Amino acid sequence: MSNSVVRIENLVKRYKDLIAVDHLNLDIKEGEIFGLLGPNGSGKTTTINCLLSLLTYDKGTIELFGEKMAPNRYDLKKNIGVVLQNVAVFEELTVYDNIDYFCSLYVTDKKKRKELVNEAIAFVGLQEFTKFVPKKLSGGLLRRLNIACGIAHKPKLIIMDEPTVAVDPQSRNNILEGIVKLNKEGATIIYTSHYMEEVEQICTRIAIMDRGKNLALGTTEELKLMIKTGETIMIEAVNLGTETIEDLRQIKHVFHVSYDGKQVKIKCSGGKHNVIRILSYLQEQDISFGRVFSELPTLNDVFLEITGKELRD
Amino acid sequence: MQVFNTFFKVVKHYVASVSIYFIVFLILCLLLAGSRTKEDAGTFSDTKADLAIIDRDHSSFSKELSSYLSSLQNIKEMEDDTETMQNALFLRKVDYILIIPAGYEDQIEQGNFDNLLQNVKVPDSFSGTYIDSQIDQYHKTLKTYVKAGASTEDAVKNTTKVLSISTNVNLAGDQTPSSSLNLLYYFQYLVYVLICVILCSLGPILVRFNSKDLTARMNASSLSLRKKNFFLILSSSLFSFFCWLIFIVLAAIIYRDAFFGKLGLLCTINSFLFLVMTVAFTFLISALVTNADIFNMIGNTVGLGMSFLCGVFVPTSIMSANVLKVARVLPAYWYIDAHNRFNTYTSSSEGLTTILTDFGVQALFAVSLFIIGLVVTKVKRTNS
Amino acid sequence: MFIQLLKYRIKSFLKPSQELFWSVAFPFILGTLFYLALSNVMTGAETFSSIDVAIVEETAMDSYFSDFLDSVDQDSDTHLINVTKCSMKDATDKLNKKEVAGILTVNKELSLTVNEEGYDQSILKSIVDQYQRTAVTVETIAKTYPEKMQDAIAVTASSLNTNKEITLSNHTNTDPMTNYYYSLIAMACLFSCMFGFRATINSQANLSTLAARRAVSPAHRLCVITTDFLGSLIIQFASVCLLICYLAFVLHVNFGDRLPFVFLTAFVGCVIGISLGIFITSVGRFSAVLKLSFLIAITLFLCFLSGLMVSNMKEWVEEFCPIANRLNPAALINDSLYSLSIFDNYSRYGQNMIILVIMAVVLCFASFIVTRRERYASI
Repeated sequence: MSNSVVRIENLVKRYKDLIAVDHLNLDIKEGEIFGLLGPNGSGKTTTINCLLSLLTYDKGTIELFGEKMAPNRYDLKKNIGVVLQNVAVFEELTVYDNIDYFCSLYVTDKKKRKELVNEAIAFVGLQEFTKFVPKKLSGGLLRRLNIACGIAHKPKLIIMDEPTVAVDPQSRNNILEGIVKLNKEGATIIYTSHYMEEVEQICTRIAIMDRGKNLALGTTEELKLMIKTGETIMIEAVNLGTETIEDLRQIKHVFHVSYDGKQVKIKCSGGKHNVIRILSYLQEQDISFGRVFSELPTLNDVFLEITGKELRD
Repeated sequence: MQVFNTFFKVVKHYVASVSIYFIVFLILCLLLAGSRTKEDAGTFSDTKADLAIIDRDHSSFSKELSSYLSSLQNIKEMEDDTETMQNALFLRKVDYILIIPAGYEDQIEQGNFDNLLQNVKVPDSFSGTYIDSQIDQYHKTLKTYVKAGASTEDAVKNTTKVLSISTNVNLAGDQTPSSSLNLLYYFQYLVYVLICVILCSLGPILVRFNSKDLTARMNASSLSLRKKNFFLILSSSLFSFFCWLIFIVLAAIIYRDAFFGKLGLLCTINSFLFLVMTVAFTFLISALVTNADIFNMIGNTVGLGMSFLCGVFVPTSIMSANVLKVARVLPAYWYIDAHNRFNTYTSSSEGLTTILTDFGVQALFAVSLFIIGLVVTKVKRTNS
Repeated sequence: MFIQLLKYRIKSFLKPSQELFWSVAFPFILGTLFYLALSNVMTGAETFSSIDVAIVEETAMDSYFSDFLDSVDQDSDTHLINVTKCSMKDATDKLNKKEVAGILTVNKELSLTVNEEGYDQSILKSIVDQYQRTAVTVETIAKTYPEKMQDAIAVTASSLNTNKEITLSNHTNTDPMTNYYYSLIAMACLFSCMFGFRATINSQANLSTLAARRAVSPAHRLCVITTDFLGSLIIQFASVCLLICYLAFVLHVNFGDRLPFVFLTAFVGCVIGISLGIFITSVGRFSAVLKLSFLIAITLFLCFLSGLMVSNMKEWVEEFCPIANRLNPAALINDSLYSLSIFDNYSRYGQNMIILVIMAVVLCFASFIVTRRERYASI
């Protein structure tokens, strides 16, 4: 069993009447890419800010690297890299100076820092922009600068709060690949996002949050197993009668059938051979049908079923 | 109309920072007017300055001198101690310190009048010079009698008698009442205050409407530039007019005796013209810049710059002619030029043509600035 | 790390910004404006213009008086006044048009008519007074001591040096216009509050993301704040020093012969300015824009009270509310510079400096109390 890097127990944070974080428990192990997934306002950023001791909280304990976190735990902070949701850079300094500045907060050796800064610049692909000031950068490039400032010192734990907002798909892939690379080099990563594809793509473990609660936790596969839907089967067919629909509902493992006049959508829980069972029923009834699709559940299904709402507003 | 509504919604957003400027400059304006009145009221001979006499001679002559001066000035008690004297002068507790050294009487009796006394005074002050001349006259007269052969006692007696002669001064009816002076000072400093308040408050609001994104969005809409500018100018004018009105109403309340009359009317017209100029200038700048912060800088630089160069803070009468020649290119020069003639005009109906010319020049400034502003927005729109 | 932080703090402050304008450019602009507006007064190029006076002879004036008038008329060496003889009607007209400062009516007695109270009128009165007194003196002497008449008249015509102006110290600066420049330096010092403002915005996590980002770094908070303060101080002090040099050596403003103390004053002034900026930015839950507006307004206001716009403002305040002069940092800086140019000893200067230092400490301590918490209820 590897060590806990972050342990959050019973965290409660209130903003007056609003409960932003509601008895949250998290245990993040070394070497993980931990995804914190939730819609806007679900408490992800608040959790991160509590974790970093930026915010006071009402209840609970937070431990980093097995020790209690506090604002003056500079020794702990030294091992953390942070990419905050809002871009935090000096407007007056150039790209290079910004990265160097933030790196200098962690690394005092000048020579080593130079290497690290250049590495970070290459990592986010800002080589051509080192002399630019943040104002002159586009939204995506600014995000990349923000990331570079957070990871330049090669921290053991990297906390990224929605780092890819407003970044174009190609750069996003680069960033995601980079994150995996950082992880391979030994960094534990906490990654919050409301983009499911990203989380699904890179995270080793995911927590789904809503209204400040941790609703589900596990690997993508584990999460998918948690929900009823095992398979969604869609069949193109016209002129289906209501009896047929009723009959379809009676088939083993089928728990939900909907029909829009062109396509019938059948949700099945677990089990195998669902497609064969359904198709053979249709053949028996001599009902003609067009193309057949079968989909395994996505995180979106998971989220939809757990929270009862779509992830994106 | 939408522009109009949005404008005042934006105003609402800025209301806190606008009020800060407004209140601070309002206080500034009142303090300026108040401080000036105190300084100038009764610089006439009858005003008594604060005088301290350090008598180290303690003779009958020195007492005679002291009593002569005490009939003319306020005498303040003072210890014979350098630091006390320095502090008193520094704090303006006294304007003048006269030191009568030991041996004053002896010297006079020997007929020696050179360097009898010493004085320390507030540098270059009018009261200082005035007291100097009084003391000089006293001794000159005394010396005249002594040289003529009078006994020193007689000389002192005669001197006191002679110096009691004073020219009869009639104050003709047409003097400016102090409330008029207050009103004039208030409007004099209003130049600086108007520039600062309008630029610092209206500027950032206008910039919101000229910001790149918003302009692009509005250009894409059915709103024509002409219409947009029309509503922008209309709402800015309304906003500024309201600000100006507060200053005017305040003047009317504080200086009501002087305000309701020719003088108040002239001041109001003059400041209104200057206001229009200021709004036009703000409109022009807002078309040129994209950063709202810049208005704080421009407001204060232009405000203080014009005020110092055009004679708001420093009277034009003591400024160099060359600077004043250059100042003619600034609208505040014409404001002050007109302003300085109001008092004469109200008492003697002289100089109306010059005043009207000054008004005209200000109006011309306003119109040209507006036109330049409109051209700039036009050019900017075509270019983008 | 300390040096590194300081380096970047200074680097970031030196980029063109609103703060840099206020604390560096603005005082230079204003100084130049003062110079333009006051150069005439400062260099003493101001020429005394003779006073216009109308003379109305209700009875013909005697030869003594006409001789006297000739001696002070424009064409003479003293050219104190410029005499126009005319009728009463014309004279009144001229007086109303302000073409003359007063009307001198010659009758059995001399009398003066004016319609306002001003310097010109006062001078006019004293000229006439002087004549009348001399006339009476000469008359009495002619009666009582006719044999010494010549000696007496010689005295009346001679100048007198009975009363000698002395200075109580070796540092008397007699140019009251210098006060404008004292206030200007006070303003330049106080505008360092802009840097205090930005430093605070950059180090309080509830005010900016950048501050939050810095708060989660391992750099010790005290170290960050100290470098911010030092960085601000270095830039501002350097800029004020430049300003003083510009004023003293380019515009030839006389700061007396104790320039090192002028620089010391500027240093303490910068400290108080930065502390003020930090304090105002720290307290209250207002937006940054609002706080900045407030800072600019309050700084200008304090400087105004110390005489930035009207040079005798400080004396006026001294009369009505002396405590304001002891608490207004701008007035204290102004005062310190003034003391340096007037007084030999340093007691007044020292007192001002002590008040300033105490205020800076109090402000810093208060800011510290307010910002002590390192975690926020919300950001």
